[in-house]
Amino acid sequence: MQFSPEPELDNKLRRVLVVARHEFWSTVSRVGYIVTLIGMPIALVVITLLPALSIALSGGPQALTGLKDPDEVTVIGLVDEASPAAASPEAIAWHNQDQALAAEEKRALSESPSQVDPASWRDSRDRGGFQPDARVEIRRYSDEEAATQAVRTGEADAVWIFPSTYWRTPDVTILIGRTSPTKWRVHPGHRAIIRLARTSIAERTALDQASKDRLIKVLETEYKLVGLEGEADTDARTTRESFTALLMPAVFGSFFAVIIFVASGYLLDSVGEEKETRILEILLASVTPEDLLLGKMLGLGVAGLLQTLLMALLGLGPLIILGSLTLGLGQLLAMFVCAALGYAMYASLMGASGAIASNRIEGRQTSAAWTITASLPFFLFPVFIVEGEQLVAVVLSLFPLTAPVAMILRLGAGAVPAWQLMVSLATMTATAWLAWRFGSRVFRIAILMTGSRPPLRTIWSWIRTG
Amino acid sequence: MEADVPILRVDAVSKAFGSTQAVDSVSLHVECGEVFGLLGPNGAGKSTLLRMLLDIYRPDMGVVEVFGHRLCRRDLDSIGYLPEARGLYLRRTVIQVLTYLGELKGLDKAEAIQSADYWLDALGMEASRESKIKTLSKGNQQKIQLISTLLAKPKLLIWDEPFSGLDPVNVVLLRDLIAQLKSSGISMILSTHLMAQAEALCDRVGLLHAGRLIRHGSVAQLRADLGVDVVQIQTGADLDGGEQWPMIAEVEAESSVDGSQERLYTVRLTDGASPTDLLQVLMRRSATVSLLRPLKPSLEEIFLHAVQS
Repeated sequence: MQFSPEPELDNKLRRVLVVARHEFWSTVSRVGYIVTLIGMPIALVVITLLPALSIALSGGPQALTGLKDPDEVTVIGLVDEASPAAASPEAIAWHNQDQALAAEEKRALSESPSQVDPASWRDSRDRGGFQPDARVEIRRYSDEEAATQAVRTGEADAVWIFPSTYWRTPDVTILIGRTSPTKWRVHPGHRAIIRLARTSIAERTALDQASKDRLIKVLETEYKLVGLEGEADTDARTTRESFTALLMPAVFGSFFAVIIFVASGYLLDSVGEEKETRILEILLASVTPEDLLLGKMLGLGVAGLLQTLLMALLGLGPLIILGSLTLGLGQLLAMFVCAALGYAMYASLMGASGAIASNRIEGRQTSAAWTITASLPFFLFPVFIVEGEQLVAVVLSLFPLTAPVAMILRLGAGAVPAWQLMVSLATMTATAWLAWRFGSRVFRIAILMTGSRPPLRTIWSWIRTG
Repeated sequence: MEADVPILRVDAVSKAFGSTQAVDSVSLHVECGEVFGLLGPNGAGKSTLLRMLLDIYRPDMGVVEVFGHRLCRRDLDSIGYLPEARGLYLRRTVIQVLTYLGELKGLDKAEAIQSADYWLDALGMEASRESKIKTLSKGNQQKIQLISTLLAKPKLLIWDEPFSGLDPVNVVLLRDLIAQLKSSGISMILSTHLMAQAEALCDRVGLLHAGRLIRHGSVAQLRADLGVDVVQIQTGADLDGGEQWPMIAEVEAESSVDGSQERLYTVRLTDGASPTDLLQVLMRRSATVSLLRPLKPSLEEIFLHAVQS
C-alpha cells in the first residue's frame, strides 16, 4: 500500500512553503538586506578585532602572536612531577630532534633548494610538529624554583608545571614572564606541550574516557596562568586574557541573539507593507491568516538566519585567531535552539503587532515594547561577562521574554548549570507556543482592520475568544 | 456536482463585530453561469458578506455552501476574488506577483506563469510582463488584479467594485470580459454601487441594506414587484386639473409638442392606479391620446423605494 499524505495537510504545507519562499526571496533581494548582509559583518569584524588591536598596540605584534624571529628558538620549560610523566622524556627528545631537523631542512631549502631531496627528509621526521615560522624547544626543569629562575632570566619563555597529583586531580599551571606571549592558545609552544600531553593521556589505558576528557579540557582551557611574583605587568596581561576569553564568546553568542531582532523585524515590515499596499485580502482569499503568518515566520527566519550565520562565520575567524573561542558544539547547539525559540516567540508577537498597526511606522511603535524587552540583557551586558554566577543573569535567563538573549549570552560567557538551561528552554518553548497561539488569533482578526489602533481591552478580548 | 445544484448557497448567515450587526440573516444563491449583482451603499455589509463567502470571516450563524457542499479551504482554489480594498506588491514585477498569487491558488510555478501569460496577452498587458507594479497606471494595476483572479480557472468569481478606477475604454473591455466569462460558464458575483452596470450585466441582483438582504431577484422581477407608477403621455387633455384626475399623484414634467395642440406629460400615478385606469378616463372624456408609455423604474429607484419601504 502506498502512503499518501492527508490532502488538506499537504495543501496547507504547500501554501506555507509558497509563502515562505516568496517572503525569503522578497527580503534577500532588497538593497537594504544586501547592504546589511555585507556591512554588518564588516562592522562586527572590526568590533571583534578591537581587543586584539588593543593588545597588539600595548605589547607589540610579538606580544599578540607570541612568535619570535623564525630563526630563533622559543624555549618552553617543563616541570613534570607527575608519575608516570605527563609528557614522556622520550617524546620530548623526539620533538626537539624533530624541530632541529625541521630547522635544518628549512635552512637547506633556502640556501640550495636544488640540492635538497624532500623525500630524504620525509621519512626521518614528523612534519606534523613543524612550524615554519617558529622553532620550539621543550626543556625540562627539575623543580619550580629552577623553572622560575629560567623564566626570570629569559632562558625560557614560559614553563608548564604538572604537579605530582596531576593524574588524580588535574591542576596545570603555566608560569609566564614579562616576555611571554599573550595569546597562549595559539602559541606553537603551547600547542606542542598539549600535543605531547595528549599523547600521554591517550596511552593511559587504565583511565576511563571521562577522566581523559577532563584532563584534555584542563590542558586546553582550564590551566592556570601565573605571573612571576611582584611583576604587575604579567598579572595585568593574565587578567586581560581572562577578560577577553569571557568577552569574545559572549560577543559571538550575541550574533545568535541578533537573529531574533533581525528576522522578527523583517516580519514586522512584511506585514506592514502588505497592510499598506492592501494586498492582504487577496492573499487571504487563498491562504489562512495562520498559514500566512507561519510562512512569513519560516521564510523570514531563514533570511535572518542566513544573515546571522554569515555574521557569525565572519566573527568566528577573528575569535579563532585570538584563541578566545572556547565554545563546544553543545554550547553552539544550545545557543541556536535559544535563538530559534526566541525568534518563534517574538515573530508571533511582532506579527500580531504588525497586524494591529495600520502601517509600518505604527507597527514599529507598537512593537517597540517587545524589542526593548528582548534586548534588556544587552543593556546589562557586563553582568554576563564577569566570572561567577550573577543573580541578575540567572533571573533574566529564566524569565521567558528575556531568556533567549540572556541564555545565549550566558552560554557564550561560560558554563551554565544544566537545570537552569533545561528550565529556561522549557519556559521559552511554552512561551513560544502561547505567543504563536495568541499572536495568530490577534493576527487573524486584526489583519484586515484599518483605522485607529484598537484598545488593549479589545485585543485582550480577541486573545480570549479567538 | 449535480447540474441543478446552485454553485453558491448562503443560508441565514449573520456576522456581528461587537455591538454592530454587519450582516443579518442573509440568504441567497447563485446558479451556474449566472451573474449575480450585490448592490448596496457603503456600510451595507457587502464586503463582510463576501469575506464570509471566502472563509476570511467565519459567520456567527448560518451556512455557506459552494459547489454543492459546505465551504472548505480547498474550494478557494476555484474561487477568484477581487476585493474592494486591493493592492499589489509595488516593488515586484507583474509576472512575479502573478506567479506568486497563482501558486497560492494551487497552481505549480510553470502553470501559474503560463496562465499569467495567457491573460496578460488577452487583456493587452503582455508588454508590462517584466515591469514593476509601481510603474503601472492605476487602471493597469487593476487589470493585473483582475488577472490574478482568473489564473486558476475559477468556477466562481467574486468581484467587488471591479469598475472603479477604470477609464471608459477599459470599462468596455471589462464588460466584454464579463460577457465572455459568463458565456464560458463561469458564475460571478459583482458587488457594485453602479446600478446601471449591474442592470446591464447581472441576471439577478440582491439589494443589501444595513446588513439585510431587502430584495433579490431578476431586475425585471424587481420592477414587476415594485409596479409601474410613472408614465409618459401625449394628450390634448389638461392633466393639471387636480381633483379631476384622482389617479394622478403628481405631474413630474410637462412640455408642448411642436405642430400639435397636445402636450407631453410625465406623471406619477397614485398607489394602486395603473396606466390603463388613466387611459380609460381619457377615453371617457374624449381626449386625444397620441402616446402612452409606462416608464420602467431604474434599479436605483427600485433600491431607493425598497430602502424607504
